[in-house]
Amino acid sequence: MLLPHMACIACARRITARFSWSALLNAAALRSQQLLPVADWLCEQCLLMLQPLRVPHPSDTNASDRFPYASDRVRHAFDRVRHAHSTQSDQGNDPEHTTSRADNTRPLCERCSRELNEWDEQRRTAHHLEHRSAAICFDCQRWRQWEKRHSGEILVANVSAIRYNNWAQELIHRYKYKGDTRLRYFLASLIGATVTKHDSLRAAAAIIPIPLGPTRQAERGFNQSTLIAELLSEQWDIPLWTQVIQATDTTDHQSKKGRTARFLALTKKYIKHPHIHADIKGKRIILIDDVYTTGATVHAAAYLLKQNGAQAVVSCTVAR
Amino acid sequence: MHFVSYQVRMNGHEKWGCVSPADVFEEVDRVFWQAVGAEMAREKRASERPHADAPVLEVRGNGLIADVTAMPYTPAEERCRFWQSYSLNTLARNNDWEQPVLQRIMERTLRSCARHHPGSRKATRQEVQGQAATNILRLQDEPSFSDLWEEVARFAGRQLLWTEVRHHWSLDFRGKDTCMLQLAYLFGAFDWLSAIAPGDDGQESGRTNVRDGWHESGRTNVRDRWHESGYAYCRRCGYLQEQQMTSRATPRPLDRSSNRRGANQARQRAAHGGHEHGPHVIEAIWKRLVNRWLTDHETLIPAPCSRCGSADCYYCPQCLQMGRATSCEPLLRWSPSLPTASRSFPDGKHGQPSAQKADEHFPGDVPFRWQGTLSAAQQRASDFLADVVHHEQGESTSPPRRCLLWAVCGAGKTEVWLETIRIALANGEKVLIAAPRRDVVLELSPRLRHVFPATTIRTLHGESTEKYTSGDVFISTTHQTLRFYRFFDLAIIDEEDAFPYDGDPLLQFAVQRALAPNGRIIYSTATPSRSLRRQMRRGTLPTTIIPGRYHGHPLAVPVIQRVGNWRQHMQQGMIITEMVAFLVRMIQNERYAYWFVPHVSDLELVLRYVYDQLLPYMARHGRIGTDSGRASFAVEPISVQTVHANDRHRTEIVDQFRKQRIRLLITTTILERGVTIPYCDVAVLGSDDAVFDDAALIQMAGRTGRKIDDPTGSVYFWPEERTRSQLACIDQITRWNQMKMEP
Repeated sequence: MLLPHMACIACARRITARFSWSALLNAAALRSQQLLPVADWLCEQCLLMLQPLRVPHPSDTNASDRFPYASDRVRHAFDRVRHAHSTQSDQGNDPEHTTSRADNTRPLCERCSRELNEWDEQRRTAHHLEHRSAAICFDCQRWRQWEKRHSGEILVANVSAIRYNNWAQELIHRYKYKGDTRLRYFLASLIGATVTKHDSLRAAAAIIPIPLGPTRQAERGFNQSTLIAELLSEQWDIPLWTQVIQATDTTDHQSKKGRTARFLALTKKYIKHPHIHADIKGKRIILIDDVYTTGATVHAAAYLLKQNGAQAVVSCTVAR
Repeated sequence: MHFVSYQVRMNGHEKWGCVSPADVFEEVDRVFWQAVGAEMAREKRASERPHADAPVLEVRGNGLIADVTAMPYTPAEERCRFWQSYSLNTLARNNDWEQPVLQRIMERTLRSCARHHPGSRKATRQEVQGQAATNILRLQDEPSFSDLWEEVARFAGRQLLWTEVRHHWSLDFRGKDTCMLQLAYLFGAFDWLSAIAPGDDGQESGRTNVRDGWHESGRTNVRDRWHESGYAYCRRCGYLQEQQMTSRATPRPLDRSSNRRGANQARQRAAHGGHEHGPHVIEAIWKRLVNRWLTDHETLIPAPCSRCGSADCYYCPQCLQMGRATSCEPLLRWSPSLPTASRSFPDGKHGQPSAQKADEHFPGDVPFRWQGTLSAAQQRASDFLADVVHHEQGESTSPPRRCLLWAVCGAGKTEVWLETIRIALANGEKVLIAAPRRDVVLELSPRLRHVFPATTIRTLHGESTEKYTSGDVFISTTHQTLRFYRFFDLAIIDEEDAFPYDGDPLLQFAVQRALAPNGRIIYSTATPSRSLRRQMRRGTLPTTIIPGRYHGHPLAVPVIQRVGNWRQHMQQGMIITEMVAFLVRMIQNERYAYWFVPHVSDLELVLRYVYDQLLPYMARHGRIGTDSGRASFAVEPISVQTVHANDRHRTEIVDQFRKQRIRLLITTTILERGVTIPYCDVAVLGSDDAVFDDAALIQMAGRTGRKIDDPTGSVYFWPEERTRSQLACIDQITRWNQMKMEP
């Protein structure tokens, strides 16, 4: 819920209201927190566009846990969005008419937190029932196969905050390519709201953002994942290691390759920093990236970390 | 400019950096003037031979950066004058002037970069010298310098970010770009400025939009200057510049007479001793809060930057769409009238061909190919415009001359401009035609190209390829004018009241700034905005009115046909007879039609309704709509399309409609202006919706009957109920029709 005079961070729509002392004080208090409740950044329309992905975690039962600072109204608004999203029905906008949320939600992939579709279900029943594997999507099954064949487990899981719909795409485009780095606060608070404080994810030794190649970094002037990771490390009180993984410039086209070739090319792209001897042996590590699309990037970085002796690697991305 | 950024690429590795540049510039400039003096005294300087095995090294960057405003003289201008007075060929023949200059410039720049950033020490002296020598050798291989000047001149009058220039320069001058840019700079082709500029020197202490607390980091750079002034703005778009937009950003001083309850209550509490703090403390708290408040909203945004290495490199949130303007990003302002090759090199062999070229296009006779005739009203307006715009004016400091052309839709505004544009071109002036939307720009440019066959006419919009080319007439969307600085002598603003221009102070500022000091503005619209109408009434804005269309027929008066709750009817599949009748008439008379709907979400609904309900219904009842009942009516397949602002195929669809391949186009208000199609009718669904004000309705009604072959058309409003704006629209159109009859 936006306060008067504050602009929506996604669409810049401004709530016009009269100046009031209480609003001023309220805003000042809120501004002193770096990461606000998610709903405080957005106007009503954008709140409806945001499609949060449910994280399969026992503590994730209601919104109050996610938003410790939020008022009842905010909580209600966000709950309503989640209801509307999860039930996918016409009457979903009204919380009174929705049935309990658990009935109609699609299960999420337990590995990459994508929503499973019928295709995934069929694949799972056909091939993986005998393996008694968890509910994971087809992509992740293929990753698992690769892991089984070539190395141990690379990535434990990926946690994403929102679905990568058109709205999110536009938002991230503005952040990354237009360079509107204000959005980092918002995007970090999305992840912050998803990974709750009871989450076992938090018990990690370090946060590592996915690095950018030097040319890209020079062009852009910033690394979008690092900016988010900085805020999160402050929030979660976990050290941030930005130098451990470095990216080299790749010149060849990614899109023309097959899946495995692309992954292999990416594993060559990320290298460990030659001079920094960070002790990652036996550590649990969180990788931060902005979007998880095919997962090749995150897997390549995780692969590097595992090769260097990390115990487990988890990734958090804003969108999936 | 307060930073020097540099980019060193060596053996495939690239390095960016940014140093405090004042010393660098001083050094560079000193070296430059030393070299000039030496050359003028004919001192031969022993030039070091470049090292033979210098590794591949490219040095790019704004190594040459001048803070022009901070210097006691204006080096760019002086340099320009010097080089113009002095024959370049004399210098070039001796071959030793540029080598020491450029070489030492680079060398010193790099050395000072290395001093600030030990990491860049890799670029050793020999490497730099080698590169400088290579650049100079390349330069000498160049057949003529006039090519360079043509390249330079295409940026004339622009203000561009360094990244933009670098990109578009290097497309044509691959490998030689740095050298050429340096030369261009030495000739005074442009100024280096910083995109984010500190404001005045803090005379007004109340103004702060730079966040508190940054100065604690103890850096000595531009932000310290900002702290002194407490204020900075974006040079590119003028965001937070004093004249334009600080009114919102300025923290208002505590107003004692204000009736804000909170403030007064706090004050009263303090006055009665109920509060332990005195008023000054409350005032301080209030100010701090306001500062904090403004910091988050009306400011430049601090962000960590890996280019300049600072933790808060400010960027402008206002003009992000045009590329990020940060405080470490240089802004290159190219002078509006660059010295042509003939003027720079008067006695050289390079000057002659371009001098001849200039003779060919001698201003004075502009090829003008227009056979049409103006109607009496148009002629009157045309004379008026030419008179107001082109009469002699003594002092150039007076505010820009402006006038308004108020003509009904389809009055032939474009033809009225032509004479004025012709005179302007004959005087050698630059003309800007700013239109609100890309569709309008794309329609306008072939017409003007036809009329002025020998004039270079450029079309600028977001996806245009001609963005960085020079020309005499620029037809542009309003946003693109942000890239110009004091360049145009005549600006014609088409559809002044249309969406982006009206109500966006940024664009109004952009147009004002794109004007040369004694530039003129013509506003041209059918529905002037309220402020223009007020100025017209007061007599501060000279106005000419064309009440009738050029072909003399009256405007089509809209007919209101109430259709009830049409959204519900459509959802329920009820047949709306007005729409059927419209379609039957459209098909029988072989006409085309626009249907306007209020919202994008209605497009799908209406389209499906037409396809699923109306057309099958008409096919079933073949005789509908005919009086005799005998003429049977076959429903031919007609093509219906929808288009809205963010449509991916928008340009194609509009183009198809223009070529009459689409019979019925269902659209939102985006096509209300500027698109002309013969034989068309208009219907406005939901014309009682709030998004259609009377100006929009007038514009939409004006889509019909614009060609002389088809002087009338029919316009229908299909609202649920009558509203004031619909009646006002009908009133206005009737009044115009009467006005046309009377004189």
